[in-house]
Amino acid sequence: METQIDTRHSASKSLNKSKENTPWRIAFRKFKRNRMAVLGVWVLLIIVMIGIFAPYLTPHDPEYADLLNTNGKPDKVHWLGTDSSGRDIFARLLYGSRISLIIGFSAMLFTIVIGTILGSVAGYYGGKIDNIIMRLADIQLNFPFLLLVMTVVAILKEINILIFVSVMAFVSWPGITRIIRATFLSLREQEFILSARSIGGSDFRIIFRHMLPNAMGPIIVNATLFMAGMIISESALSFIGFGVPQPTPTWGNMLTEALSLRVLQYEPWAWIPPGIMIVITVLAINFIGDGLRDALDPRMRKS
Amino acid sequence: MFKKSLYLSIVLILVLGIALVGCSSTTTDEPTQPDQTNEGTTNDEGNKEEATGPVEGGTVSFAMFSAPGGIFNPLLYEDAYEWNVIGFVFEALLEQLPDLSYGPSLAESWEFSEDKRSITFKLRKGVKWHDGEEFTADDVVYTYTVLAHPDYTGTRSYIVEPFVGFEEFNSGETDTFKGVEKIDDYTVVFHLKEAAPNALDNINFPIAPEHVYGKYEVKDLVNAPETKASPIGTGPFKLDKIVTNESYELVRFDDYWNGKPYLDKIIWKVINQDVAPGLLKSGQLDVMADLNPSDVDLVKNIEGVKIWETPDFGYQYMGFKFGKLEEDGSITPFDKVYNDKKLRQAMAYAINRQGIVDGLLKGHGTVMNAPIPPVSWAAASPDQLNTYPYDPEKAKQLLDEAGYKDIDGDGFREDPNGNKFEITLDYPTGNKVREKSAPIIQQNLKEVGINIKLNAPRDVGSHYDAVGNDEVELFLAGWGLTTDPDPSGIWKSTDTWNFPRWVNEESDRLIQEGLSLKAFDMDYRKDVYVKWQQLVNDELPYIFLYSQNSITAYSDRIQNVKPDAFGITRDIHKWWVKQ
Amino acid sequence: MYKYILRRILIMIPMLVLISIIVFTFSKLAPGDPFTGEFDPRITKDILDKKRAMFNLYDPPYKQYLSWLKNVLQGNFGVSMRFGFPVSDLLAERIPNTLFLAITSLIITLIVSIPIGIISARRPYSLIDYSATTFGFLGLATPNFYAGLIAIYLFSIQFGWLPAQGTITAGADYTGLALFWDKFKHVIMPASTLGLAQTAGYMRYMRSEMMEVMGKDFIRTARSKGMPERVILYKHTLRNALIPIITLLGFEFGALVAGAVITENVFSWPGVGTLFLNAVINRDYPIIMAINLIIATMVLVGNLLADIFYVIVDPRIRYD
Repeated sequence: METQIDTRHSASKSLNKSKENTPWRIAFRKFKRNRMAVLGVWVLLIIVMIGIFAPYLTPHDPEYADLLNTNGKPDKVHWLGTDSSGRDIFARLLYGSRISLIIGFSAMLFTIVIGTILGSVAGYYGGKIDNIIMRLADIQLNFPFLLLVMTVVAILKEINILIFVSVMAFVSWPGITRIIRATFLSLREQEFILSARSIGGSDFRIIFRHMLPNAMGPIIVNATLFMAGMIISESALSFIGFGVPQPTPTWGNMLTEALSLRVLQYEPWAWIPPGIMIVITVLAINFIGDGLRDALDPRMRKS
Repeated sequence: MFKKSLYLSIVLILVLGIALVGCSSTTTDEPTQPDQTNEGTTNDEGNKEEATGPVEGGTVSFAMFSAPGGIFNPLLYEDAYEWNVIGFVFEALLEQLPDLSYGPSLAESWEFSEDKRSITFKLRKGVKWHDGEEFTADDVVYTYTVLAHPDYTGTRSYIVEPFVGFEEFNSGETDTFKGVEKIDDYTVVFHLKEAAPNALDNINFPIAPEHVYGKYEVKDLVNAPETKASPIGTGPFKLDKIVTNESYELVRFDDYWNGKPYLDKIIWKVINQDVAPGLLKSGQLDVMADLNPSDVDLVKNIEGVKIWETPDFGYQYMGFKFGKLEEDGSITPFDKVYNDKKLRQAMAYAINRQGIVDGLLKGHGTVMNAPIPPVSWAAASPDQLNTYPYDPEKAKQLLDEAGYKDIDGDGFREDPNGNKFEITLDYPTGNKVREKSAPIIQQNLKEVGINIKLNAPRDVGSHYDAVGNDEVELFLAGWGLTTDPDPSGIWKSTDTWNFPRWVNEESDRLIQEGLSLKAFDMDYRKDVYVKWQQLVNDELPYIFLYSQNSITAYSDRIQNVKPDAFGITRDIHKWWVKQ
Repeated sequence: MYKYILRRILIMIPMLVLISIIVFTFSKLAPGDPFTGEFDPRITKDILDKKRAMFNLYDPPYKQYLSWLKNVLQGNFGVSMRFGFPVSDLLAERIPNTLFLAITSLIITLIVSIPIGIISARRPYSLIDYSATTFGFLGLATPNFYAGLIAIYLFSIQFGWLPAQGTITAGADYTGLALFWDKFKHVIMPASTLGLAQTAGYMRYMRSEMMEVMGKDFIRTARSKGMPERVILYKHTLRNALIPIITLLGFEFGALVAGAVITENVFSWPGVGTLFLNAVINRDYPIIMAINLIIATMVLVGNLLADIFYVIVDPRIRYD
C-alpha cells in the first residue's frame, strides 16, 4: 500500500492552538492560494459528479454483457468500445468512478477511525497500553493480506464493497496509528494539555476537546494521501484476482483487461481510460493533500 | 510420444488466479492424417522441408505458464508442468495414436487372453536407458509394483487397482504383487481382475528404471536426486539443466531407440501467459501451447508463426446440487426448486451458450449438450440430442407451461406454488473465461425471469471444498477427460466426484453396460453411450456449457511437425530446424 | 542502548509466536486443503484421504500447530504438502531471487530519489524540479503492475532491449561479467517498477525534507558564518534529511518483499512472492507459515535496525 506517511511533520502540530477559529481560516486562505490544490478540488469534484450523475451521462448499463459485441472498437454507440464480455467501457468508466471513489473514501474513513482511536489511546496513555497497541501494529504489519482476503471470501462467500473495505482498513491501520500516536505523544507534554489535566479534565474530554482538534492537521493530510493509496491498492488487488469481482465496474478490475498484450497493443481504449482515471484521481487527491499540508503545517512555507 | 493427458483427468493448478485446466486430453476424429505434415493448420503455408532435408542441431524453446513443482519422476509427478518436462524423457509401453487406438512403443506387441483378463506384452529389445543400461521386463514390473506398494506416496495407485492382487499387496498382506508377472526379460503379463474394453487406457503408464529408482525405499523416492533433478528415461531427450522455476533444458539422447533426434536441445521456459505471444513474435520462443482464444488473431498475424487448433476433451458445465453425500455413502436428496426437470430445461434454453463460445472464446470452442465431447468416437451426433439452442422465448414459454409465473410483478417468476425463489450460483476464480461466463449466465436467466444470486468467485480450493461437501446450489466447474468415454468416476451415483449427487438407476446401468464383455464390440459400446448421453441430455443434471479448443502456436522454423489431436509434439525426435 | 536492543529482541519471540498462531488459524479457517482443488476422477477419495493422513491433516488443529512449532524450533520447516519437498529447499531456491529483486529495487530507489530530491530542493521551481515533481506525482499515482506491463510492452516487445521474463537467459552459459550483465538486464525492469512508488515518494520526501532543513536556523547560521555550500549541503542538510528516509526503509523493506507478489507475477520472477501466493491458494500451510515467519522476522529486525540507525544519524535521540 503506497501511502505517504509523514511522521515528522505530523509529530509536531499544534504550535498555534489558542484561538479557536482563526487557524482554520488562515489555513483555508492559504489553501485557496495553492493553485494545484484548488485544481485538485475541482477535478475531484468533477469526478464525484460523474459518479453521481453516471446514469444520465450514458444510456448503457455498465453490467450488461453483449456477447455479440465483445472487444468492440469505439463507435457511435459505444464511445470507448466494449470489453471482453461485451460491456460498454464508457459506462463502466463512469460508474467505475463511483465504486473506486467509494472504496477509496470508505477504506480511508475506516482506517482513519481505527487509526485515530488506537493512536490517540496509545499516544495519550503511553506506557503499557501504548506498548500493547504498537506491538499489535507490528503484528498487523506482518499479516499476509492475501491470506486474509481469501479466507474472508471463502467463509463469507461474498465480497461486497463493505467487506472489501473493512478488510483493507483492517490491514492498513498501523500506519495511521503510528502517526496519530506520535502527534499525541508530543501534544501530551504541551502546556495547555498539562493545564487541562491539572484542572481535572477527564481523559475523554481532554482527548476529544483538546488533543484531537490539534491533531486534525496530520489526520486530514494523511487521510487524503491514504485515500489515494487505497484507490491504487484496489486496482492492484483486482489485478491478482483479489478485488471486487465482475460484473461490478471498478477502474481496477477494468484494468485487468490490460493483462493481455493484445489488448495492450491493439485496444488502447480498453485500458488507457481507466488507467488515466486512476492516475488523474490519485493526482487530484495528492494535490489536495499537499495543499492541505502546506496550509495546515505552519512550518512548511513556500520559499 | 506418451501423453500426460492419459493419467491426469483434471488437475487444477492455480497460478496467480490463472487456473490452467491441466492436461486436457484431446483427440478428434476429424480427418487428421498424420502423414500429411502441417495440413490442417489454420494458416496454410507451403512445406518446403523436402528441398533441404533434415539438419542436425538447433534448439527449440517451449513456453509453459507456470513453474513445475519439481517432481521429475513419472511415478510421483503431480502437475501437468512437470509432465511437460519429463514427457520427452519417459515413455510408456504403448503409444496412443492420433485415432485414439494404441500402437507399440516400449512394447512391440501385446495380446489379450481369451477371457480378456490378461494381457501379454512383448517388450522391445535394444532399448537403452539414458545411462546406457538396457530396458527389460524388470523395469516394467518395478514400475507397476511401486504404484501398488503400501508406502507409495503418489496418487496414481488407481492405475494398478484393476490388477489382480492389488488389495493384498497394498495392504501389506502379501510381499509380492501378483498382478504383473515377468515371463522372461522381454515378456510381461498383466493380470486384471475384470475384463474391460478400456483396459489399455486404464493401465498404460510411463516406465521408470528399476536400476535407478529401485535402490531407494518407496517412501523415500520423492526425495531421491533422480526424482528432483536427473531423471533417467528411455525417451528422445534427457533432462540436463534446471534453473528452478525458470527454465528446464533437455538435450538429445543419441542412443534413442527410435532414431537419434535431430535437435540438440529443447528448452522449456516458464513465461507469463499474457507476455508469451510477444516473445513468440520476437523469436525468443518457438512453441506455445494453450494459447488464449482471444490472442489467436494476434498470433496468427505474426510472420513465421503457425497455429494448430484442435478440439479438446475437457468441458465446462453448470451443475445442480440434488443432494448430500452422507458419511455412509448414501445420498440425502435436497428439496430444491430445480429438482423440476422442466425448469432445468428452460434454463438451458435461456443461457446463450453459443454466445459464450462466440463472445468469450472468439469461436474457438463448441457448445456441449452431453457429457461426451463431440470429438470422441462415442459422442452422440447432434440430431440424436436436444441441442437446447438459445431461445429465451421458448424458455419463457416452458416456464409458463410449468407454472412458473411472475405473480407479484417484480420481474422474477415465482414457483408453481406461488413462492418466490432465488438460486445461488457459485463459481471459482482461475479460468478467466469461466469466471466471465458466470455474470452472463445470471444476466441470461434474469432475462427470462429466473432470479440467480451470484456468490463471489472463490479460489479453487474453497470452491471445490464447498462443491464436494454439497454446500452449494448451482455451481460452475469443469472436467478434463481421458480419451476413453467411460464415465465412471464422475457419473455413477455412488462416485465421490458425482458432484450433482444425481441418482439415476438407468444411468448407472448403462455405465456398467459400457464396460461389459459385450462392449468389447465398439459399435455396441457406442450404442450404449449414445443412449446414456440421451438420458443425461434430457435429465440435465448439468447444463453443459462449452468445450474450449486447445490451440498451439509454433514457429515455422521447426520442420517436420506433425500436429494431431494430442498437439504437435508427436515424433519430436524427427523435428529439425533450419539453420 | 544495548539494553534497549536486547529488550526489543526478546519481545520479538512472543510476537513471532503470536503471528504464527494467527496465520496458522487463518490458513486453517479457509476451507479446503492442498488436496481439494486437484482431482482426477480416477483418484479415489481413499487415495486422497491417505495423503491427508500422511500430513496429519486429521489431527486437531492445535496438535498440528504444536508439532509445527516443535519442528521449527529444531530448525525444520516441514514438508510442502503440494510438492512433497522440504520447505527449506523450496525457500532456498526462492529467497535469493526475491532478495536480489528487493535489494536492487532499493538501490535504484535510493540512487534515483536522493540526488534528484537534492537537486530539486536546491533549485526549486526550476525545469528539473518541475519534471522531477511531475515524475514524482505520476510515479505515486500509477499502479506498479500497470507500469510493469507498459515497460514490458515498450522495452521488451517494441524495442527488444530487455528480457521480459525470468532472472537469467535460459540456455545460455554465462560466467563472470557476462553473467552479471545478463542478470542485471533481467532485474532492471522488475526492480524499477517494484520501486516506482517508493522512488517517487522518497524523491518528494527528500525535496521537502531538504527544503525544510535548509530553512532551519542552524543552516542559516552556518551559511552566515561563510561555510561553503557543499559542506552545508552534505554535512548538515543531508544528514538531517536522511533521518526520515531511514525510518521508512525499515518499514518498507518488508513491504517491498510482500509487494513483490504482483511484480513477480508480471515478470514471471521466481521469488518468494509467487511461491507464497500459490501456497495460499493451495493451502500449503507449511510454506505459508515459513514464509510468513521469515518476512515477519525481517520486518521486525528491519524496524529495529531503523531505530538503531536513527540513533547513529541523530545523536539527539536516545533510547533507554
